Amino acid sequence: MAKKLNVEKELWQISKPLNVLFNIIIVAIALSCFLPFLLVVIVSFTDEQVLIQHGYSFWPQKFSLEAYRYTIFSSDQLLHSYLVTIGITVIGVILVIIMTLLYAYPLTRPEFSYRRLFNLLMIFPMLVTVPLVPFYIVMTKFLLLKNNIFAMIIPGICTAGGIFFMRVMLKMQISDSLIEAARIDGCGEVRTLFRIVVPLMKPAIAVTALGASLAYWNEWYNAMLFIDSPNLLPLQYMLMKIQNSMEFILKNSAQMGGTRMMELMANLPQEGVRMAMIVLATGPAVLAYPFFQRYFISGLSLGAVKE
Amino acid sequence: MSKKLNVFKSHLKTLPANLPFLTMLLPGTIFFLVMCYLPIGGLVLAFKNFRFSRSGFFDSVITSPWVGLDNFKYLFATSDAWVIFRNTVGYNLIFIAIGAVVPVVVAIMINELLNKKAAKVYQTFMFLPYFISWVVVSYFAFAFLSVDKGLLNALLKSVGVDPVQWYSNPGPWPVIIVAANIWKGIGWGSVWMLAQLAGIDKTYYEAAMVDGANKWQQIIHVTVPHLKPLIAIQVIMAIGNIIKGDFGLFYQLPMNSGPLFPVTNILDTYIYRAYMSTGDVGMSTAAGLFQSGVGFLMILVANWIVRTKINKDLALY
Repeated sequence: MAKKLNVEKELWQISKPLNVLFNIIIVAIALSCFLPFLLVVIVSFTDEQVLIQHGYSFWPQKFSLEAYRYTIFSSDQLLHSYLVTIGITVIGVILVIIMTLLYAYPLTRPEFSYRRLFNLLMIFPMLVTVPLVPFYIVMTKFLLLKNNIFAMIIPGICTAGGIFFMRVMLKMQISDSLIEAARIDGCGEVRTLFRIVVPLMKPAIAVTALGASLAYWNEWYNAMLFIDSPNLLPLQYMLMKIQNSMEFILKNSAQMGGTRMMELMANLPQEGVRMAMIVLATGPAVLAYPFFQRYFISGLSLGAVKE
Repeated sequence: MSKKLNVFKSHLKTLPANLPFLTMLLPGTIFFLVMCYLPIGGLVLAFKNFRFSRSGFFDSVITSPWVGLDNFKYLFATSDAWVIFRNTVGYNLIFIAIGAVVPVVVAIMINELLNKKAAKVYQTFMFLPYFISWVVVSYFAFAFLSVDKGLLNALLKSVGVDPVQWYSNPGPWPVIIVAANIWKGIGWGSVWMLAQLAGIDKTYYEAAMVDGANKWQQIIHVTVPHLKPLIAIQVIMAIGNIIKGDFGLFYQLPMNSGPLFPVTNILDTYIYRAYMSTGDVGMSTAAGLFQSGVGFLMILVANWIVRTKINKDLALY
């Protein structure tokens, strides 16, 4: 009996040596994903003089909080950018939820006659890449959104992928008989959606909100296209701008005289400060993630089961 | 005529029932019309010499003179055209091949680990890069590739090799780009595959074990065949997107560095730079039309293959 159990176990599981090998491979991958994060955090806590002399390192000789003190207290830009990023994230997420629900729900109702038409209307832009230059012209010359905070919000409020996901979830969670019952009780379509469907859809809405908040928190593309005003720079675009000025120096360091370069360097946030900014800008998204991992993965797997 | 009238009447009759739904769809419809259909219609500018007139957006589109295929001639006459096309398609082919293998292998490995709790922790770590933007990734890369302070050059120095000017030396960049793309996507890809693995009916494995199949045989004869249609669809859909690239990956990671353009310039970055530096609406729209047009054809073909050859339910439409 014991032997039989053992054989079964052997069939059911991988062998011990193979388990060790798999563990080593997966740990190596996991570490390579994690170590760059650790490096940036360590650099942000490293003394500036040590950085200048020895470069970046996992084991710095001296730690310092100076970079954070400088980043937080020396200028308003970071605070400004934080407010802009939080602003577009909050407004964006609310709009995404509303737009996605309003578009997905009618597509799941069999009594609605024009499902195919509106389905097609949504799918076609997915098949044809929306071209950058006409998009830019529409945003700036038609909607007049140049240097407007909504230029960073509106392009993301409605995505075919999000509607697809919501539609699948609606089909899974909401039975026709439930809607039928609500109708018999005299509940109108709009009331049915907000009073009956929305409370039942909380998990799907949570996943949508998580995805959208990540997208808005990491927004730099539309800012790059449409935002010049320093008051409206979101965090990611602020980081990008700092990097661009660094790039400029790298490119021109050969042609420029020493003094001019020193001057430019002096105005740039130093090594440690740049990394401290990265930590402060990325921290919330990365730290929030483990708390939401369960929702995120369950959302992924639910979205994957398409039936 | 009367037939048309009847159709109209039947639409009218069902209007009260449909009206609440149509109202719900209104914001989304306006969004798609303005943000997607209007720019797609704007592709007509590829055949025009766009001049912005004061009398408004539509007016300037209409009054701009037609120039036929001139913009395309300029586009394909540039020496960059071939390089950009090669980069866009080439990188995508590599990404597709890797995307079809690496997440599957990693997911199967994680799935088989005996220490399940540790497997959860590994997944959490692997998912981290998914949560940061390409801007932040480029800072991470800089920590390794910085000429004077980066870890890689420090490492090279310690083994007695001359430091490399990473941001002006195109040689290693195809490898860096591919590695960064794997790094950022591996967590998402393998977790998604794990979800698919969890969906495979356990009785298949039991049946295989009754037949005396060992773990390896189970993976080859049960797991992989179950994942095959899914991987096939992923590949085909990716081929549909072969003319599109990830702007952030190709623009942020190489820090927009000029000497690297031969190996980092793709259609998306080319269009952006062409428009932002020269303001040439015609030529950059021509490039956009090329991208949208070829992409559309590719997706139609890809979807047709999925629908007729694999599984009707998994097709896009």
